Amino acid sequence: MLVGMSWSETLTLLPELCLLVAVCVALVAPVLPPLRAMFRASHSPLTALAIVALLASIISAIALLAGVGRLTPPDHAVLGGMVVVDQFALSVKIIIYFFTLLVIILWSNVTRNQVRLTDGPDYVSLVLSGALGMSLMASASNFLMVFLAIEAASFPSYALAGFNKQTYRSSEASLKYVLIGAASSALMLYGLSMLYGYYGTLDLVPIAQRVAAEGMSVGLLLGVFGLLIGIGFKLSAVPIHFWCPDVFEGASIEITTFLSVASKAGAIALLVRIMMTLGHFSSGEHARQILIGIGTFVGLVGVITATWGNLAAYYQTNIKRLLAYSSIAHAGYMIMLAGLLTASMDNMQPTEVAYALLFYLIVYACMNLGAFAVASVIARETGSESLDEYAGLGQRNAFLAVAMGCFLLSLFGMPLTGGFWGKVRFGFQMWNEGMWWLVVALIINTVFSLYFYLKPIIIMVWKQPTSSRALSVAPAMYGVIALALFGVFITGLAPDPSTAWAKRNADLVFAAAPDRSTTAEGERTPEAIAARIDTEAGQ
Amino acid sequence: MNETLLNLMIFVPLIGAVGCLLPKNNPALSKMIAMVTAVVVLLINIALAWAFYGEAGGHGYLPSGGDTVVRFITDKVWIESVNIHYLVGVDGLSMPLLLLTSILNVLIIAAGWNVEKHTKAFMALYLVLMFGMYGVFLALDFFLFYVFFEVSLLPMYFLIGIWGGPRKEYAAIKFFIYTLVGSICLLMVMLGFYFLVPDVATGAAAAGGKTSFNMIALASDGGVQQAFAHGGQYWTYAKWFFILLFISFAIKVPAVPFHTWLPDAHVEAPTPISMILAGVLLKMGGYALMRISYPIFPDAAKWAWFGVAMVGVVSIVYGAFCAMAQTDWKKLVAYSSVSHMGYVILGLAVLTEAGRNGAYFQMIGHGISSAMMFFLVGVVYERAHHRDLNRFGGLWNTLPSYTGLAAVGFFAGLGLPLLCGFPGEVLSLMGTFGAIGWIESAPDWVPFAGSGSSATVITLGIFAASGVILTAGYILWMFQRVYLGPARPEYTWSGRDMVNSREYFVMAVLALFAILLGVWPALVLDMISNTFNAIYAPFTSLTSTASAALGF
Repeated sequence: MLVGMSWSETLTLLPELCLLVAVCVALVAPVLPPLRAMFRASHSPLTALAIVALLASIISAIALLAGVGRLTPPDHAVLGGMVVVDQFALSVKIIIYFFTLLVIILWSNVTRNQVRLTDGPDYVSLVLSGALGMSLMASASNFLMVFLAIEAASFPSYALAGFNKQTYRSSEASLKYVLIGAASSALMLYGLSMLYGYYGTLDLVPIAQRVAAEGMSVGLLLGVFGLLIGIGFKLSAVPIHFWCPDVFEGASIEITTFLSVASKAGAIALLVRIMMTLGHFSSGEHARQILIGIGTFVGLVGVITATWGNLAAYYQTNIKRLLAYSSIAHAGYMIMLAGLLTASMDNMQPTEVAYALLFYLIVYACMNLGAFAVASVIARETGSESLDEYAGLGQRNAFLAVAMGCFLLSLFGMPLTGGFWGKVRFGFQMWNEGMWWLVVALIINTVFSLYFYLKPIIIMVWKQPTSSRALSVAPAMYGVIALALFGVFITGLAPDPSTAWAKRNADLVFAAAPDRSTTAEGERTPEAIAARIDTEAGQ
Repeated sequence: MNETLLNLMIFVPLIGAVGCLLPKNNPALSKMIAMVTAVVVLLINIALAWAFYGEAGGHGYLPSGGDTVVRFITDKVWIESVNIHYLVGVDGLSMPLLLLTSILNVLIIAAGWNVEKHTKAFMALYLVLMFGMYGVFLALDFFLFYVFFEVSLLPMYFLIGIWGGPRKEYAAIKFFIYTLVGSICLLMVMLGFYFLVPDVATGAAAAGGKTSFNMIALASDGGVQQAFAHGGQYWTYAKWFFILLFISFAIKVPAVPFHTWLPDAHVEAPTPISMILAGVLLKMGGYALMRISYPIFPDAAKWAWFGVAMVGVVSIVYGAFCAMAQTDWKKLVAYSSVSHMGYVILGLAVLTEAGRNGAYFQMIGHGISSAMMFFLVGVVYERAHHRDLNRFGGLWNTLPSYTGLAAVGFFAGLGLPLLCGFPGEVLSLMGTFGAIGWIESAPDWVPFAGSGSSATVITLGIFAASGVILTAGYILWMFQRVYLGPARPEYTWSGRDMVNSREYFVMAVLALFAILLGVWPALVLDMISNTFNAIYAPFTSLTSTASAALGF
C-alpha cells in the first residue's frame, strides 16, 4: 500500500506498477552476480521479462476495465485527484501496452542483435518506462501530473532515439529531439506556472469553473498556449513537428513504430481529457466564446498539421520518413477531432467524439504497426530503408507486398479497411457538430494523401526487382503482420464489435474534481460534480 | 432458392479468384478455373433471368407489377451502428446489364487466353473485378453500392498497370485518381443522406429513427421525396447532391470534360481489359445515374436537365471530332466510346420515356459493339504490333472472314440500322425532340421553360444528331484506311499467325448479338419496361404528352 492510498486505489494503478517493477528488475537483475552470466549470454531473459510485464499490465488493465466502478471512487480519481482511472484511460492504456508488447516482439525479431548485450537492460527499461509515462498521460488530471507524464514519456524517448550510438543519424535525431523537447517543455512549464499564478491551483476542474465565472484572462491564454505546445510536441503538430521525420529516420525501426503510435495515443487521450473537462465544467456566455476560440484554434492546428504532413510526404524516398509524415497527418486528423470537443457547444455529444477517437486509435495502431513491421523486415533483409528496395516486392515475397498494400490503403482510408471507418466516423462527427470546414479539410487531405500512399504500391508492383533473392521472414514477424492485417480488416469489414467496445469505454471523460473527500459519493455526472463543487464553494 | 442464386452470382467469382491462385506453375489450370467460373456465373444468371421474367402474369416474361419490381431480395444487417445493410436484389434495370456482363465475361476470358505474363494473377484479378461488377449491379443499399464501386476500381488499376502498354503506370494512376475523385463525391452525398434523411423519412420511425441507405426506399419514401423536391426543406441539398452524384458518375461514363482518363486507359490496357472497360465498367456510370440520381432527385433532375443535356451533346460532338483526329486505332475507338456514351447522358437528361429507353438500350448496344471493336483492333495489333492507322491497308484481301466480322462490329458502332448501335441512338434523339412538350409547360424554375423551349431543344437535338454523321465519317474513313485498298505484304499472315478459331468464336458471338439486338430491340426494351414505369413514375406525367406526340 502506497502512502496515503487505500488498497483499492493501489490496485487501480496495478498496470503501471507492473511496468515499474519490471523496469527495476531490468536494471538491477543483470548486475546481481548470480544472474549476471545469464543476462550477458543473450537478450532472451530481458525480452521475456518485458513480455511478462506487459502481459501482466494488459491483463490487469482488462480486469480493471471490467471492475473499474468497484475499485475507484465515483469520479475515478486516484492519488488525491492527480490521476483518473476511468474506462477511457484504461482503454487507451490497453492499446498502449498491447502495442508496446508487439514492439518488443518486433525488436526481438529484427534489430535485437544489433544491440550490445550490455545495453539490453537499458533498452528494455527505457521502452517500459516510456510506456509507463505514456499510460500516465492517458490518466493525468492535474497539470502537474500532465507535465510529469509528458516528461516521463519524453526522456526515455530521447534516449531510445539515439540508441544506435554508432550511427551519426541516430545521434543527430536524438539531439534534435532533446532540444525541441526541452524548448517545448520550458514553454509548457511557463504556461502552467502562469495558470497556477492566476488561478492558484493546477487542478483542471476548478480552473474550468473559474473560467466559466470570470471569462478570459491572460493566465488562461498563456496557460492553454503552453499546454498545447507541450501536447503538440508529443503529437508532432505543426509547427513543432520538425523532430518527427528526423527521429523516425534516425531511430531504429521498432522505436519509430513505438513513437508513432503509443506516444501519440497517450497524448491524444490527454488532449481529449483536458478539452472535455474544459468543455463541460465551463458553462456561461463568457466561457462559451473562449472555448469556441480554443476549439477552433485546435481544429485549425489539426488542419495545418494534416495538410503539412500530407504535402511533405510527397517527396520522401525513405519509407520511414514517408510513414513519419503520414503519422503527422494522422495526428492532424485526431487533433482536428479533438478540437470539436469545445469548438461547437450546441448539441454537443462529447462521448461520440471520444469514441470516434478511441476507435481510430485501435485502427491506427493496427495499420501503423503493420506498415512498420513490413518495413522493418525489408530493412533487415536489404540493409536499406530506401523506397527503391521495394521494387518488385510482389515477386520476391507476395505476402509482404499484399500486406503492405493493405496497410497503406488503410492509412489512406480505402473502404473495407479500418482506416475508412476511422475517417468516416471523423467526418460524421465533424458534420454533426456543424464544423463543415473540418469535413472539407478532411476530404481534401484524404485526396492529397492518395498519391504518396500509392507510390510504394506502384514501386512494389511495377518496378523490376534489383535482386531476385527471396526474402526470409521470421515466423513471429509473419504472426505480427498477420495480426495487424486481421485488425485492419476486422475493423473494416465488421466494425460493429470494435465500435461497440469503443463506445462502451468512451464514457464521460473528465478530470477528477479537486477534492476527493467531497466527491466520494454520489453520481459521476458533470451536473452532479458541478453541484457538489458549488455547495462546497457556498460553504 | 433464387435469392441464393443471386448471392452466388456475387460470391462465386471471389471463390474462383482464390481457386485461380491455388495451382502452382500451371497457368493453363488457372485459365480453366477462370473460364469455368465465368460459365457457371453465366448459367446462374440465365437461370435467374428465367425465374425473374418467367413467373409473371400477363406478358409471359415480364415481372408482375405491384409496389416494387425488385425481386430476390436478401437483406441482412451488415454494420449496425450506421444501419448499413447487405441488401441485394434484381430488377429490370439491372437484369439486362447483368446478362451483358455475364456474356462478356466468358468472351473476355476467352480473349485473354493468350495472356502469358503472370496468367494466374491476371485471371484472379479479373475474377475479383467480376465480383465488383456484379456487386455494383445488384447492390440496393447505397453504401454497399459504394463499396462495390470501389472494389471494381482496384483490380482494374492493377490490370491496366501490370499488363498494359508502355505508359501503363501513367494510365493506371490517372484512371485510379479520376475514379477516386468520383468516389469521394459519392461519399459526400452519403454523408449528407446520413444526416438529412432521418429527419424527414416517413419510414425512419420504423427503423428506430436511423438513416436508411436503401436506395429503393429513398426513391419511394414520401417524406424524403417531399424534402428533396422543389420548395422542400432540402431543395438546396438536393441540387448539390445531384451535381455531386452527376460528377461522380460522369467520370465513370465518361462524359466531357471528365473523360481524359479514358483514352489513356484504353490505349495502354491489354485487349481483354479494354473490352471489359468499355463493355461494362463505363455502364456502371450510366446505371448509377438511372438507379440513384434520377429516381431519388426527380426535381433536381428537371432543374438540371439543360446542363446534363449539354454535357451529353458536347460529349457526342467533341468525342466524335476527337475520334476523327486520331491516328492511333485504339484511341479512335476509345474516343468513339466517349461520343457514344454521350447519347446515354442526353437520353437521360431530357426525361422522356423514349430518351430513357434509348439511353438504356445504348448502354447495352454499346457494350456489345465497343467490346467487339476493341477486340477487332486487338486481333490485328497482336500481329502487326502497331496501331498506326496510316500504315495499314488492304486487310480485306488477306483476312476476308475477319474483315466481314469487322464490318459488322464497326458498322454496329457506326449506328447502322438493324445493328445494335442504331436503336439506342435514334431513341435518345427522338426522346430529345419529344422533350419540347414537357419543358414548354414546366414551372419556371426549369431552365428554358415556356416558349423558349422548342428552339433550345431543337438546337440541342440538331447538334446531337450531327454526331451520327460524324460517327459515320470517322468509322468509314478508318475502315477505308485499314481494310480497303491493295494488299500489303507486311500484313499477310500465315501459319500460327492466322486468326484462330478462338478469336473467331469471340467475334462471331459478339456479331451475333450485335445483329440480334439490332433487329429485335424490343428484347431489351421489354425487359426494362415494367421497372422503368415503376421507378420513373415521377416523370411519367411529363412524358405522356411527348411520347403521345411522337407515337411512342
